[in-house]
Amino acid sequence: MDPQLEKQFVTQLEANQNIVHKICRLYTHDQESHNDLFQEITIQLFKAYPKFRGDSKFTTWMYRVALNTAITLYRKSKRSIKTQDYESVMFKIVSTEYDNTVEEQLKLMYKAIRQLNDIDKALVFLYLEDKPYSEISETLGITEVNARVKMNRVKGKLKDLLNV
Amino acid sequence: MDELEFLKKDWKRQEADLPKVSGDAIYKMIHKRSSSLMKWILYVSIFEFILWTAINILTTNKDTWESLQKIHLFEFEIITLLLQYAVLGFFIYLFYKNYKEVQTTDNTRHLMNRILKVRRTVNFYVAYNLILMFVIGLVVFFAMLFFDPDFEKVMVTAPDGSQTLPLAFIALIIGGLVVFLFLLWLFYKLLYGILLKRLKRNYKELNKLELRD
Repeated sequence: MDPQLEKQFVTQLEANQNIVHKICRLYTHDQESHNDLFQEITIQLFKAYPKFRGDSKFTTWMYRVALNTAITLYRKSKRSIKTQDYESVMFKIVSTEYDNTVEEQLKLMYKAIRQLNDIDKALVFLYLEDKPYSEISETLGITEVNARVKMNRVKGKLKDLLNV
Repeated sequence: MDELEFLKKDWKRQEADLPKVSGDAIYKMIHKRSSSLMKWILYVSIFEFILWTAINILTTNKDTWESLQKIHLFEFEIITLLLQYAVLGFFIYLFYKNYKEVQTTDNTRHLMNRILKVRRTVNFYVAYNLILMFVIGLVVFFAMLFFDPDFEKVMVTAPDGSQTLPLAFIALIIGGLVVFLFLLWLFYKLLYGILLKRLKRNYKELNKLELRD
């Protein structure tokens, strides 16, 4: 590929890498697979980059390719063992403003989200990223109405998981 | 308050805690090999095309040509061989075309559909081979039955003087063929079961709502 384009891609990805890391945290269980998935997403993004025409936002395009890779194309290379370590690194409760109950509740919620299936995770992820339903539905390839219906069901599922 | 709304607020704070990969590291990554599902499907499919073509070539040496001539199947074999190559060419073209259409920039449901389509192409090729194998097996069996002089040794003569094949012999041949095909089918089930299990589950999940419309 054209070195200029390569440089442009690296700069853009470096600036927006948070999106990829967040997806990796949702879809993997240990640091090694996190890095593994990060690499695979990077490769897939790079492969698709020449076709990125800039008619959509770089990040919108990124969400789609990255999620597709995490949900569909990624294959775990090794048997990954869920480590307690990673769980605590995963979603650290960063704010000190919270009292213990709130903190506990947040921890439970992150845990519940990680128990959802691949598709529901993607829905919650896009929702937490503040994406409108129109974009969620376009990314996953379902109608907007169904995206809403599904999201409501996921909310119900999360409630159930939290109450157990 | 809606739990997710509450979580949304905390979600933004998470960013501060995310790892950072340097531009140099990204540079290195983009030149690494992908180990995606599509790569696996591509390798397995190429292997299958080669395997089945190799089986065809290896099973037709000089000796088989001669014995085929003996049982009057020479022309039959030539026609099936030509057909095999034409069909192989057709499948490779179809596979390549479908493979090229798999794009990560598609929406998730569409992407999954395309990947399954690629797999289906190769599955058809395998099914075609199995059926052909079965048909050829039967034709050769009957041709031998009628034209192979060695076959008479196996025949048993009934009290009325007519010659028949012992039932056990027929059962053995047909049983062997069935077991062989079953094992092959099991192998494919296992191979693609492992490769495509997650994708199929997710595809079903996405389709659940859409199909009701």
